[in-house]
Amino acid sequence: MQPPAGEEEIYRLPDDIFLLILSHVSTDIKSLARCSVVSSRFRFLVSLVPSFYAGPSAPSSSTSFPRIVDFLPLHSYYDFLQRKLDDPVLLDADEDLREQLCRLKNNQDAVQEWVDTILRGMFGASLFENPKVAGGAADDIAALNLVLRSFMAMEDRVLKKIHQITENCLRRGKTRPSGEGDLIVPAVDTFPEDAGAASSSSVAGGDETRSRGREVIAMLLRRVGSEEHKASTAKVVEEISSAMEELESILHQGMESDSDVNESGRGPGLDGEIGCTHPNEPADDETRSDGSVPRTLADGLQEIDEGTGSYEGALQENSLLDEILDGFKKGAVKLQVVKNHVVDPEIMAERISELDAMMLEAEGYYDEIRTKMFALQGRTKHGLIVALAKALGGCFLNQ
Amino acid sequence: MSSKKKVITLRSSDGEIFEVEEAVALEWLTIKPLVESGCTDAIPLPQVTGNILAKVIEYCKKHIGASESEDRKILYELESWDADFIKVDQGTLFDLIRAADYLTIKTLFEFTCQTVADTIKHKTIEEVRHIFRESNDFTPEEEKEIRGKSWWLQGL
Repeated sequence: MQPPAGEEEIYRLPDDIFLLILSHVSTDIKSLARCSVVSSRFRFLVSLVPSFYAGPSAPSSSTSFPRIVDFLPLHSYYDFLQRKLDDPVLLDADEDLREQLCRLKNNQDAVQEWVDTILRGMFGASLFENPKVAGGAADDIAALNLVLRSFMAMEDRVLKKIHQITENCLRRGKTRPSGEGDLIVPAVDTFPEDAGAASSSSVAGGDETRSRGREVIAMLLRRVGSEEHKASTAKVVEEISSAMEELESILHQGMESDSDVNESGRGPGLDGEIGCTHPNEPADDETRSDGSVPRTLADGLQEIDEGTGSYEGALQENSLLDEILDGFKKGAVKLQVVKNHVVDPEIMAERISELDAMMLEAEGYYDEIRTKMFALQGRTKHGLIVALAKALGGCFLNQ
Repeated sequence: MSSKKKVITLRSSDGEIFEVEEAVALEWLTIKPLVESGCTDAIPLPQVTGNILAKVIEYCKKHIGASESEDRKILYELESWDADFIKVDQGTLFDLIRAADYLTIKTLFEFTCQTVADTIKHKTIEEVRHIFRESNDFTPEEEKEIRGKSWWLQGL
């Protein structure tokens, strides 16, 4: 996956753009399928095209048309989830299913894959609007939708949510194993309501988003790097988090900054279950402020927010890779705006050029990370990518 | 309506200077805030070359106002104009996509992406590989497996 050189470069579009192009192709399932055989990069991207699951002629009778989901490994998890949500009575009666749930819980990859599926659905609403395709009852679809919405609301806690949902499913199946006290278990009993309630109660911590986002990123990046990439990954983490720290502190001034920060919401469950190394290096910060930025900065930021649409909207409309890039891009745009609203250029000039460079650098690293992700069998890492996207998006857009 | 039309100055990556009406520049979301803030300097667009920027401006000038028109004749005319406009080589097309993305010009971006999508639609796998200069990184076994999984892919 080395970058093409020179002339060839212009024929290679970035993933996010290509994903959009693919979504234009999505009405033609055969073309899309052909694209999926082009290369592993294409294959991964094709799997992200929402309507890939729910093409116009997606069948209820699977013989009449090729079942496109058949060549995605995800369908088994998806079906599984469907069945599980389908009928608690069945769940009670079905010993195997219960065991499966337990196994799912103990198998990180499986959990990831599963949540992955849910998240994937977030970006392809059509999947859930068409019960036939999902192969379940409309109620279940609605339930899933609710879960998804709570996912969206809790973007900075995606990882925690993984446990929560798993746990909830287990509770629903009344097979909750003991000795798992580190998980966050909401008090309510049924799955969908649970998720909804949980989301509404914890959205409040908007200010946590940024610091939390940084934590998540650091954690994710660390996890993404395999052994041989460890050295560079650490550097990436450092660079990106420092770039973001800088960016934030600079953007934060001029706005009402209170000392949020240092949210230590990550429970033992997060570290333990996900199995990552301890995210100890990010956080703190944001205490710096030199108060030299004129008030217009805030106005400028508001302007840009209005100009570029809300994060919420982006969440629903854009595909996820798009979002990641968007986060960066908008961060860059904000920088530009900051530049233009600074009255005393001398004070800020140095700082800003520094930031600019950092942004660029971070973007470069981002490409590297992404390449690695693809190399590392992108699909299973997809959940992480999503979380990363959210964290990044949150950092830049939830100002 | 009688107010004087404000002109925005843009500078391409290769230093070419362009002037566009403010109304056109406001459609470019990336620079919209700058335009609105009353920026009078030339706005640098380091990711767009002069010839591409010229194309972009040409497109936006043509489309401003016209896209919303309900006059069927105007729309028809616009459509055929678009068809001519997009008759460019592939490199230019991709550059236009990148520029539209960078400048956040929704209409142009959609249009160019759609054009590429239409191109892909009737192409073989090999042709798609060529269009995007994508090399086949599957091993023969992998490819066989992928194709094998879906019988209907085998004939493609």
